Amino acid sequence: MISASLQSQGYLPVATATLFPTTEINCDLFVQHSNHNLELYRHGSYPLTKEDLRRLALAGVDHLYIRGADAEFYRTYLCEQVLNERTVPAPVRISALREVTRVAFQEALEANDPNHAVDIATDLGRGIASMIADQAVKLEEVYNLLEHDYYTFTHVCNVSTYCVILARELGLGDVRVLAQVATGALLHDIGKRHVPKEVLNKKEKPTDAEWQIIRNHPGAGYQELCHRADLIWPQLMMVYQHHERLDGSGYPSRAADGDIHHWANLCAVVDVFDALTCSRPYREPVPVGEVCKYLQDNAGKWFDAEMVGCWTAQVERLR
Amino acid sequence: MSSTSKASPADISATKTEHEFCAHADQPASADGRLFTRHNFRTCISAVVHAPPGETASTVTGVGTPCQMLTRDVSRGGLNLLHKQQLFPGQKIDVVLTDGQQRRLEVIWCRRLGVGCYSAGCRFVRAT
Repeated sequence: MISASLQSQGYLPVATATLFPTTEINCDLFVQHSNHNLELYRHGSYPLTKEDLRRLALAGVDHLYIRGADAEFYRTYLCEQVLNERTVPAPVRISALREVTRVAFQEALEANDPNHAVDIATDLGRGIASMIADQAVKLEEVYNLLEHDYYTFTHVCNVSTYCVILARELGLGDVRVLAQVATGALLHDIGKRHVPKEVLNKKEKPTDAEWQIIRNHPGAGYQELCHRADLIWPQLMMVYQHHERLDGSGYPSRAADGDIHHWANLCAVVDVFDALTCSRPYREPVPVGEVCKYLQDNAGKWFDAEMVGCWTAQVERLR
Repeated sequence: MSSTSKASPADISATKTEHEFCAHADQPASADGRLFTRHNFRTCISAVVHAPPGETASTVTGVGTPCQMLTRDVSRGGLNLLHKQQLFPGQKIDVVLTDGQQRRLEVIWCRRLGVGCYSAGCRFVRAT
């Protein structure tokens, strides 16, 4: 489990799957012990060995940590050693792609620059879709490499990856269309940056006024993106309608059944899945089995039943 | 939603131009914080709905075709109307009011009230 508190202290998780023996990444690696303390695992100038990686795997350690200040070294390593190396498995390259893009995407959002965020999302979406489509990546191959901490970038990346896998399983084979799905999913929460963090991370039930702010985020996102000529209507509907529910109980429009675009239905299923399986500052992640049951209980009522069936069949293989 | 009051002909005819709405922005706001007081205005109007922003493939039905809409209330700033289809923020609607005046509206929000019935809050904008 990736520690949210360590991230708030300025340490960044790096998936051990992206680390290769005898390759220097030029930054110190830390390991988290069961008492939650960090300890220096390997100095940056000493490459990991095969034996190191084997022991980490045996110990169930799938993430090490680096200092936030060393993120650029790690990204350079990913670009040079992982991303363009075709012999590296697709799930690892997807993980690397996310790391490489993370800072630029977050900076675009924090700089209130949705246009730049769309450009980054388009490139990232294309990369995710092509890697998943090229090597027919399954959910079980990629799930453990994903982070599950519900930071904005983590969440949208997870939703994007899940959307592509689900869309492909539902028969959408065209990689260009899958790239559009991925990009739409990366942008689905772009309106959330107008919601104060203290409201998003609030442990207690939001007040009516806070609910109103939260409910505005799909519309805010849609209005920011709708004039972009390079985004298509289904992508905009992923942004605008991903909180709509088939029975008309969702928001912002309480649209129902046929008035909800199927790309938005797709996004809704995996959005809820990721939201519940991620840890939050105020709660532990919900077990995958319980999340599947929740989706199945509401299939046909809130969520598209075929999509839920297809998704939960994928998820069953995780267990 | 705040309670609405009966509209007098003067109130409704006051909906002249966007410039005038802006010019009257310092008028007393309604109790729920709205810029303009709303008045009951229940009638049927002719309308032409434009494509929603971002929709270029004409996949949304009914776009560009004259239709009838029901209005619910009016203010100096805009209209609340009922439509059989979902409308989207920023979408433009050209309407002909009961006195024959043509106005362009922009959808601000839309809520489904029931099967085939959406309520939309729209503001008056200048036709370009």
